[in-house]
Amino acid sequence: MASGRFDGEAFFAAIDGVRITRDLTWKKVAEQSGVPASSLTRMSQGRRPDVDSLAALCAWSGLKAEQFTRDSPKTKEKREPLAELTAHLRADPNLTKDGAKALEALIKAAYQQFRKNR
Amino acid sequence: MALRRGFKAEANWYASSLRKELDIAPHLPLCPWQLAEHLGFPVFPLSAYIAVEPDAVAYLRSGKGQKDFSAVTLSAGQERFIVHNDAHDEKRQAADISHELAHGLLLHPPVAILDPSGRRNYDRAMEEEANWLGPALLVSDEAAMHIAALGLPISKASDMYGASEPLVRMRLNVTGAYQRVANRRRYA
Repeated sequence: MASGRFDGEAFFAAIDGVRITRDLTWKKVAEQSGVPASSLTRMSQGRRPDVDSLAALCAWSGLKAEQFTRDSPKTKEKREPLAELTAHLRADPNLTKDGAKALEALIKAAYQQFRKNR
Repeated sequence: MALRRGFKAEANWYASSLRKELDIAPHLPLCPWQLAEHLGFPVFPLSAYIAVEPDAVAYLRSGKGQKDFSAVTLSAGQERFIVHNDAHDEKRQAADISHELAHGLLLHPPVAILDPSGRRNYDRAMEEEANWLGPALLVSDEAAMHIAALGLPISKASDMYGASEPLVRMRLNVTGAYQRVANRRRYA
């Protein structure tokens, strides 16, 4: 039996490509395609579009849904290293030293919890 | 830096179209926690991390630490989530979350916080857009007109919309609501 999985991330990236080519804001994409702005935001979050939104976005963009079906499950994306993030926070001039230290610890904990629960 | 042309109208459109999706009249309050759920943004309060990072959380909740942290959107792969400081009063929390959701709605791409030379990288255009849209989501153009038309005291409007008094006052000013209501009455 054929098995396929829709790659929502690739589809959203392609829609963004069309948007950029046509020099449109996301509001215009929503208006022209008839897809609610919130659906576009949800798609940007990695959620797959519902059937109506998918059909509307395909019609609007000229893309074909079957171009985005994959045979094998997508491999997990590389996560950004925590070290880089903490370095970023340390450089924030608006933060006090204690604040930066506390924020680093918080963000590490938040990432760890988030990943654990996913 | 000026907002790009048409952005203010775009912000009004977001505020009204999202209310429509959520079946809320254009002039009525919009709860940012409800909006976050609608948009698929998980929101975590700072206090949720007290067991794993007691010292950091205690500091960020303290009077001094509160100044260092309002809210942040973190990206885990493609998915983003919000962590916010729930030691702030509820109206401030609403504004913080609304600001983060504005980034999400405008599909602002996550930016590296440091530029290549190692300095703080601050995307002013994106911040200004979120600074405008965040409050506009809470107090829509129609909401500002409603407050002005009814002559609601700022304190009452602040409670009604779950937004701070300075935020309500700012929205009344930037929408020119009082003047527009006066003009309407003059020419009615």
